[in-house]
Amino acid sequence: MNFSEFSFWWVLLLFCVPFFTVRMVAKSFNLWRPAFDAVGLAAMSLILFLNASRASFIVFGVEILFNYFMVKWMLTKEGKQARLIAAAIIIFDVGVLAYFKYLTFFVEGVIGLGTTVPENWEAGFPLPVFNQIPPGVSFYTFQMVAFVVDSLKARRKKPIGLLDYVNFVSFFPQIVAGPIERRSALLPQISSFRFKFTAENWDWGLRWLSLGLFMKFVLADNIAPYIQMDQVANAWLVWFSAFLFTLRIYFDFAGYSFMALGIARVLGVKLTVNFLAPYTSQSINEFWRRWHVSLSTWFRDYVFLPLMGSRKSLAPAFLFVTFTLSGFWHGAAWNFIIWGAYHGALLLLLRYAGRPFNRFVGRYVARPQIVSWAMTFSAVVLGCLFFMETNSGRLVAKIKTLITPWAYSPSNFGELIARFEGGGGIVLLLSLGLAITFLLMEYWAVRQERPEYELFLHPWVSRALLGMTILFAANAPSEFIYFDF
Amino acid sequence: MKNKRLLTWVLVAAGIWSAGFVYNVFIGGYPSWLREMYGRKVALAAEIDQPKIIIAGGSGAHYTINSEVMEAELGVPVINFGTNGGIGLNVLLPSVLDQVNPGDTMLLIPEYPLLLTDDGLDDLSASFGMMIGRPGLGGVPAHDLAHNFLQLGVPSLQALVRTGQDVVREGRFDYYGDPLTQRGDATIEIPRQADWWKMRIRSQVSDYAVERLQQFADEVEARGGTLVLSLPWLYGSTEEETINNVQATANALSEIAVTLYDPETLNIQTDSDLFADTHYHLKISARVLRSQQLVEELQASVPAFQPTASEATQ
Amino acid sequence: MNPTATQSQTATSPVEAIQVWLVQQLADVLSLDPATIDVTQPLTRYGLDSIDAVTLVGDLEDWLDLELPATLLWDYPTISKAATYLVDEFEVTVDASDL
Repeated sequence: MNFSEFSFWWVLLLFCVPFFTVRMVAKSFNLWRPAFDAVGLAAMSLILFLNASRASFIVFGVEILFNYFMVKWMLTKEGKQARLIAAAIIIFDVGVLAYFKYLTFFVEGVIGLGTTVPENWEAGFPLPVFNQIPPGVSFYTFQMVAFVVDSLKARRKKPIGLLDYVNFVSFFPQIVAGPIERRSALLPQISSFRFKFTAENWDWGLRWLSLGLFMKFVLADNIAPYIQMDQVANAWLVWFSAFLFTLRIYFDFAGYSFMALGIARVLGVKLTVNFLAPYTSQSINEFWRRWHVSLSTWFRDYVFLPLMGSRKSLAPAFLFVTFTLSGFWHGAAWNFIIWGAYHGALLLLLRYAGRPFNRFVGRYVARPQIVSWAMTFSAVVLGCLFFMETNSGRLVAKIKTLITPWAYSPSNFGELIARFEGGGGIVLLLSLGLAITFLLMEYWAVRQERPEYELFLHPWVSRALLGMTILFAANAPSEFIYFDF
Repeated sequence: MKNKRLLTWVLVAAGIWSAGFVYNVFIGGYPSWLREMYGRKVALAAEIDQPKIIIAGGSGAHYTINSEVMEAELGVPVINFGTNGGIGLNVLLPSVLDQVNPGDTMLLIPEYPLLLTDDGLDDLSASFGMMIGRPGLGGVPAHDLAHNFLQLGVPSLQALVRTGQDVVREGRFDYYGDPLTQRGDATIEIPRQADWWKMRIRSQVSDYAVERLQQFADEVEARGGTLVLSLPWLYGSTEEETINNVQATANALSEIAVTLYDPETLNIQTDSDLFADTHYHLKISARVLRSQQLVEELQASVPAFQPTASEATQ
Repeated sequence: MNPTATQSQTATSPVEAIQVWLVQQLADVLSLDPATIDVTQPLTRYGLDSIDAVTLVGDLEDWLDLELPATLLWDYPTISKAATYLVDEFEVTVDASDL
């Protein structure tokens, strides 16, 4: 759901006020059945989804029913038959995703490489072609696929109620952009769902929500307007924009994830903490343990490990393939594939060259962890350059600029400094100051081996974050980046 | 005990939101500037106790008129009631209607977005209505009203930095630091930073706007006033599309009330040197030119202002 | 692969035996001094990556002659937790002479 859009909160309010009034009144007359809570949650999720996107809702409705009845059928079978049904469901789910997300890219970007594709190929194509991906399909497809696999492997093949399944896959805080939850983590919390509005749930929910709101509206949205995509010739500006984008995407997506976590917590459901202070990482490995955790573990469990099977000696190759696929999941464009492959290659580079390098650095540098951190963060920033630039021509031009020594001229540097002049410059400096303070507070927690966001979840700090959000929120919020994936 | 902890959330949110509201509406934000300007114009208009000309519109009226020039030539008090086009036709019209007394002339100079609208509402409609104490004015939907109400307590980092700069540099909170003349005219001229390009008008006046303006003409008449319309000066394109749309708009407006414009140029200007920061806002020197044009057009088209007629009444 | 590492300590319980074996493997893979490895610290602390994690499970499978979940070292991210899990779940017994 788009928490930055007022209409989400409005529809939520319009639903909740009458629903919980009726619930309260009915409870006082002893007319309320506990099962109505589960129905209420499903209605809430589906109405909010319908409000967010009608087209996506229809696709979702079809997928939900197909998956539910197929899994139900699968659970009555054993062995090979069950595996065949599972394969059919997964092929269907991934097929739907591919159709909505990758068709245009496949025809124009891949087939178009070899032959000329006619301008109006869409007209001759037997199915309608979508230029925009229905919101959420990338995320809920993954949750559905994981559910199929986990149900197949489950020791006890207990049948699942339709209502519980609907609540599992359509739970509104996380359906559109994750966290992608697993059967074992979410299903027990959501089966026979009951609202548990305890003071503790409210308090913790509001803490996470405040953290997410602050990251999104104060940090990400105030930085976003300064990212200049069209600066191609000035190496300093290319780096600087990539740096700003690196900050923005983290605050944007982690902010979203924490808002989801907070809203779910108010309802009494605990979701995965999807980010663990990724920019404190001192290696690319560590970065991937801390960045978009629910996606990384999904790829590990449902792509990397099954693809590799027992061929463990080929693990490095499969790891590379998995990362490239994960890049492709982010978007149907070459730059995302390059981004995925780049990270896969970095992991292998670190594995084979990183250890000797570390020993070397350790011998000559007093605090080698600073060197490791700086190299890791720079590598992530460079990766963000691939990630942010969907225009291949411009991406190539930017990379050329980065390797051209005279693109780093003093006059170009002066142009960068000029960005900080005037009122806009002060806003940028203050936003960067807040962002860097935020990252330092994360680093402090990591160093103390405390939970990454502990400082921000402190009762008074989180209230201060809410206050700062009210004061400093950008009044023109930008779209959540991950809604396009 | 635990519920007390939840109460602190409410207190923090409500307290800081209220502080933001006070800032936005009363101290330093753009909304406060608009609210204050409107209030001052209401007060200035109230001081005039004889038939007058009220010039209404958005900033395309506010930054384009020299009331004193018009007043000297016409011999009738002129009050500049231009506010902001972003409040939308539905809010703009009722917010000026109250100023009409018997014998007044309401000269409305709407910018094109006000004329092309399909629902009469724009970004500032909801918040402006709330700020002048008439929430929901213009039929703003509940959803927008709630949204804008919430936003009235959110100043934004950008606005706070701007206020901070104002305080440091000029020792005051004014958003634009823009004092008004006794007749409500703007006294400053903001230079344009961006490059100039010729604005195109891609469609003609909407059916909605025609209907709403017709209703306004009737309302003004019911209060004993007369409505006169004028096309705004615009730094615009002279390509066929724009010309045709503006001409069609002028024709439609003429059906509602006397509509003032130069039939040669349709008030589309081709010299960007006349304009200050936007395609509508004029430089101070150009405001005199624009006012002289309005005087001539009023004298030519409205019987009450014909030189002989005004002499006859004396 | 047969467990060939020689140990100065004597393992007394299966849990300890597996711990000793894992410490030795980790030290080999990451070129560390076995004495610096703390069995209660996350394996990633020592620089273990995903590839090491799956190959180590592969080696463990060979050594114990068992089929193990590939995510073992993610689900049980310290040597101590992994060893306890193996003994509890698979009732692994290790002959001390194997070490």
